[in-house]
Amino acid sequence: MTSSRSVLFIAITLTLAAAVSLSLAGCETLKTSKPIIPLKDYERLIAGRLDANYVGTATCLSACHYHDKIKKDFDASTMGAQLSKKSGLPTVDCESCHGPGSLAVEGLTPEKVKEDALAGKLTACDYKTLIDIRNLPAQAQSLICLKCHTGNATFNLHNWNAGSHAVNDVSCSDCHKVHVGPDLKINPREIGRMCEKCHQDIQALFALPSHHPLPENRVFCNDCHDPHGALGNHLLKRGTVKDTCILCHAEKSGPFVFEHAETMEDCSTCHSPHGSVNTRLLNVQVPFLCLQCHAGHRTSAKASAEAKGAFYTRCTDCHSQIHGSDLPSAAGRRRFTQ
Amino acid sequence: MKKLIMQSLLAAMILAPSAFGQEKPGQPDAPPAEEITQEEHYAFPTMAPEVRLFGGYRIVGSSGSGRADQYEYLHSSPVFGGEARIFSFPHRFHLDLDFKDKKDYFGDISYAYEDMVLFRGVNRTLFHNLDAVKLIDLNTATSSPGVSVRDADTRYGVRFGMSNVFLRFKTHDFPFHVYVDGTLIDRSGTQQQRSLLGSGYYNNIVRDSQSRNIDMQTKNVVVGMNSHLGPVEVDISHGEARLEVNGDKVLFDSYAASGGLAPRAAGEYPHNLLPEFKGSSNTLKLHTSYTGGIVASATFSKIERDNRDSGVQADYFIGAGEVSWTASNQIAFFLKYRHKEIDLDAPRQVTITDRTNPANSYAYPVESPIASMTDTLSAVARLRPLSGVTLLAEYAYENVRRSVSFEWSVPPSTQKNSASVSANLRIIKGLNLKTSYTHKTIEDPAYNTDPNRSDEARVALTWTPRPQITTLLSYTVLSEKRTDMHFVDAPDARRRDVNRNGLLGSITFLPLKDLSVTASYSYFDNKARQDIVYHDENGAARVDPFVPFKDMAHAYGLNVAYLPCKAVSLSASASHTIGSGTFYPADPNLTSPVSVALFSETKTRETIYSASGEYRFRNGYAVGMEYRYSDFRDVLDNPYNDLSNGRAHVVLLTFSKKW
Repeated sequence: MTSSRSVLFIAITLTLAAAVSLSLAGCETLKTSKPIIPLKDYERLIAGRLDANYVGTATCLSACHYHDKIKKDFDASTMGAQLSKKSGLPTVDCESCHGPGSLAVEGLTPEKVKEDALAGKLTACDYKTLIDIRNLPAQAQSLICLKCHTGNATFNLHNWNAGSHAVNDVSCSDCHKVHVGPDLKINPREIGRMCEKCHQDIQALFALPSHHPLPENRVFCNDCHDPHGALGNHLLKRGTVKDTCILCHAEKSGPFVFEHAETMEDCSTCHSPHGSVNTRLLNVQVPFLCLQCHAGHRTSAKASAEAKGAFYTRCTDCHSQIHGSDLPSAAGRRRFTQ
Repeated sequence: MKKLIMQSLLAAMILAPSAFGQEKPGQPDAPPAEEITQEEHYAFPTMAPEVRLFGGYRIVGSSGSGRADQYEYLHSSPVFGGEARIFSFPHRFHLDLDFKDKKDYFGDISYAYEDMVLFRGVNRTLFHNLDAVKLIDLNTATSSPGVSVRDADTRYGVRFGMSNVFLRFKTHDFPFHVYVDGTLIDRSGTQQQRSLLGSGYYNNIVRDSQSRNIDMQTKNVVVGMNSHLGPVEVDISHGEARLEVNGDKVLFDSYAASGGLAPRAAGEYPHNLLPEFKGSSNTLKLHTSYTGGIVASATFSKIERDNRDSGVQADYFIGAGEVSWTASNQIAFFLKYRHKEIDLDAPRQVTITDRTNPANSYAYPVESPIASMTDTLSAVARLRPLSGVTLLAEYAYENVRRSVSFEWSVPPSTQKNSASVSANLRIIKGLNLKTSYTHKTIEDPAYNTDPNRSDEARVALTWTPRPQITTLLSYTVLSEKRTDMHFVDAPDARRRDVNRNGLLGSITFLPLKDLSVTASYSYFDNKARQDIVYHDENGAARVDPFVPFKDMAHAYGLNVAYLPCKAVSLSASASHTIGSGTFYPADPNLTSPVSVALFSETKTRETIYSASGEYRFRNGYAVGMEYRYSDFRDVLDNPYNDLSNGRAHVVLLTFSKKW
C-alpha cells in the first residue's frame, strides 16, 4: 500500500511546482483563467448577439424593471449586491447572463417607459435579441453560471462537469432560481420537493413503512447526496456508501477488532436507504437476510417450536453487534454476540 | 496503471493550458464593449427588513406503538418560530426558526459581510420513536432456550441533533478563501438492547432485552483553503473527526460458565461495547476551469480512523480523476477514474475479563483483517443526434484486489463490468420518454448477495397533454442471477435468482386555476429464490433448494392544494401503504413442527391523513392549523415479529404576524 504515498507525493510536488511557477509569472497571470481548449460552440451560444453593445444595468433596472419583483428579489440576492461596485464584489449585472442589451432597448426612451408606467402597463423590450436562456442546451445554461463560478469558494462544483446531473442535462437553473431571491441557496426544507420533481421513483420509496424521515422534513436529500457532483456513485456526499452513512451513524463506522468482512464497506448490502417494506430499512426480512450468506443454526423436524423460534426469528436478538464488535463471543470468536 | 493515469492527469492539468490555451485565429471577436457607466446611476436600494413571527400550540394524542408517527415527538408542546431577512448592505442576515419542541426543531441562520465573510449555521433535531421488541418464550418450563425481559412496557426513543457551521473568509479582490466546516451530531435517549446471555453455547441460550441509555457525540471539523492559481483551482483541507460515547458505553451481565474448545468461567463480562473513534483526513483537490472544452479534476485524500478502545487502525487512500470533453454541441465524453485502498491494522489478540474476578481473564486470537485495493474506471459518451434526443452510453470496470487470510471466505479478487445505454426522447411536444438498460457481470463476487449477472431496464413516460394535466408512468425491472454462491460447508448450494419490479403512476391536474390535485400509485416487489443452508441436529450442513422470498408494497397517495382567495390557502393529503413479506422454506426440518417462516412473516398497513389551512388578515396577521393522523397496523398481528399497532394525532395551531 505504499503506492498511495507516492501518488500523494507526486500530486503535492506538482501542485507546489505549479504554484511557484505561477507566482513567478505574477498575479496578473494568476487572474486570467483559460480553459484547456476554448469551447467555441457553447461560448457562442452564451455570448449573445455580437452586433449588440452593453447598455448597463441601470438601463434595465432604472427603466423597464424598476418596479417589478424581479428587481426587488435580485437586489436582495448575493448577485444583486454585486450590481454595485461599492460592494467591492466582482461586478455582475443583467447583461452578464442575458447578453448585451442595446438591440433590446433600441427605440425605447425613458419618456416612453414613463408614459407606459403612468398608463399602468409594462414597456416590452425586444427580448428576442437577448440570449434565449430557457431554450439553451442544459450545458450551455450552466456555462452561464460556471464562467464566474469556476473559482467557487466552497469547491462544491469540483465534480460537477462529469457528474451525473451535468451528464444528464441538468443545469444550474433547474434548481437555483436566480430571480427568486433573496438567496440562491435553497431552503433545506424545500430540497425534497425540488428533487422529487425529477426523482419521483425515489420519492415513492419513502412511502414505504420503514424510511428515513424525508417526507417528515427532518432529513433532507442533501444530507446524503451532493447534487453538484461527487466522488462516489449516486452523487453520494462522501466517496462511498459507508462513508456517507457514518456521517450520522458514526458508531457503526469501525474499525472493529471483529469486522463483518467487507460488507460493512457497503451498507446497502443489507439496507435500502430510501425505504423498505421491512423494519430497519432492511433489504429483506431477517432471518432470510442473514440466510442469504450464512448457514442457519442446528434444527430438525424434531426441534421444538421454541427452539425454532429462538434460532429463526431475528438473528440480531443474539448477534446484536452485527455491525462489528471489539469483544469476542463466549467461544472467543467473531460471532458478534458480545 | 493508476499511477500512470494520475500522473498523466496532473501533468495535463498543469501543462496543457500553455499548449492549448491560446485562442485560435479566425474566431469571431465580439465588438469592444462600451464603457459601462451605470455605476453612476445605479444605487443599491434601501431594503426594509422582513420579519415574520409565529407562535402556537401543538396538541398530540397517541396510543400503542410509536411507529405510527415514528419521527414525531409524541408530547404536546408550545411552538414558535419565524423568519427574518435583513439586507442592510454590506450586511446580509437571514434567520429561519421552527421550534416544535426542544427535541424537534429547525434553525437556519446565515450572515454575510460583502463577499469577505460568509457564515451559515443550521441546527436541527428530530426525535425517533424506536421499536421495543417483545421477546417471547414459547415454553417457560425449559430454561434454554430462555428469555429474559428486563424492559417490559418500556417505550424507547432517541433525540438526534445535527448542527452544521460553515465560516468562510475571502481576501479582497482575489479569490483566496479560508474556511471552517464543522458538524456536531449528538444522540441521546434510550433504546432497547437485545443480547445473548447464558453461556452463549447451544445448551444454554438466554435472549435478553434491557433498556440502554444513549448519549454520544460525533464531531467533524474541516479546515481548508482554496484559491485560483491560473490554470487550476486548488483546495487543500484537513479534517478531524471524533466519536465520543457517554451514557451506557458498555454493558456488563452475568454469563454462565461455558465449556467447549474455549472454556470460560462464570462471571460478569462486558458486552455490546460502543467504542470511541478518532479520525483525520487530508485532502487535495485540483480542477481546471469549468468553462473549457476539456475540464479535468483530481482528488487525493488520505484518511485515518482509529478505534480508541481496541486500538484498531484503518487507513484509507482515495485518488480520483475526471475528465470531460465536449467535442461539440452534439457529442461529449466523460471519463472517471477512482482508486481506493483500505488497510486495517488490528491487534493479534483480544482479552476479555470477568469484572467480579479479574483472574478470569481470557485472550483470544484475532483474524488478520481484510485489506483491499479498488480501481474503477468509467467512460460515458453523450450524443445528441437530433433536437430533443439525447443518448448516453456508459461502460464501467471495477477491479477489487484483496489481501485476505484463509479464515475469510472471500475471494482474493473481484472484477465487475457494467455497460448501460439510455435515451431521453421528446417524442412530441409534451410527451417525453426516458429509457435505460444496464447489463452487469461480476466475476468472483465476494458475497452471496452479489450476482454473477444482472440486467436492469427502466422506462419513464411523462405526458402533458394540456398545461393543466401532467402524467407520469414509470416502470423498472431488475433481474439478477448467481450460479456460484459460496457457503462454507455446503458446496452444492450455489443458485440464486432475484427479480424486482417497480411501477409508479401519477397524475396532476388543475381543474381550477387555484386548485391542484395529484393522485399517485406505486407498486414494488422483490422476489428472491435461492438455496439456503442450515445445520441438522448432527451438525451436518443441509440445503433447502431454491427457497422463495417475496416482499411487496402498494402505496396510494392523494394531494389537494387550493387557494380559494388571496387570503386563504388550504391543502389536504391522504396516503395508504400496504406492505407484506415472507419466505417459503420446503425442507421438513425447517417446516416441522412449525415453519421457521412463521416467526418473521409480516403484513402491515399504514394510513396517513393530513390537512392544513391558513387565513391571512390584511394587516399581516394570520392564523393557521395543521392536522395529521397516522395509523399503523400489524395486519397479521404476528406476536413474533417486531411490529405492533399504533395511532397518533397531531394538531398544530399557529398565529403569525408579518412585518
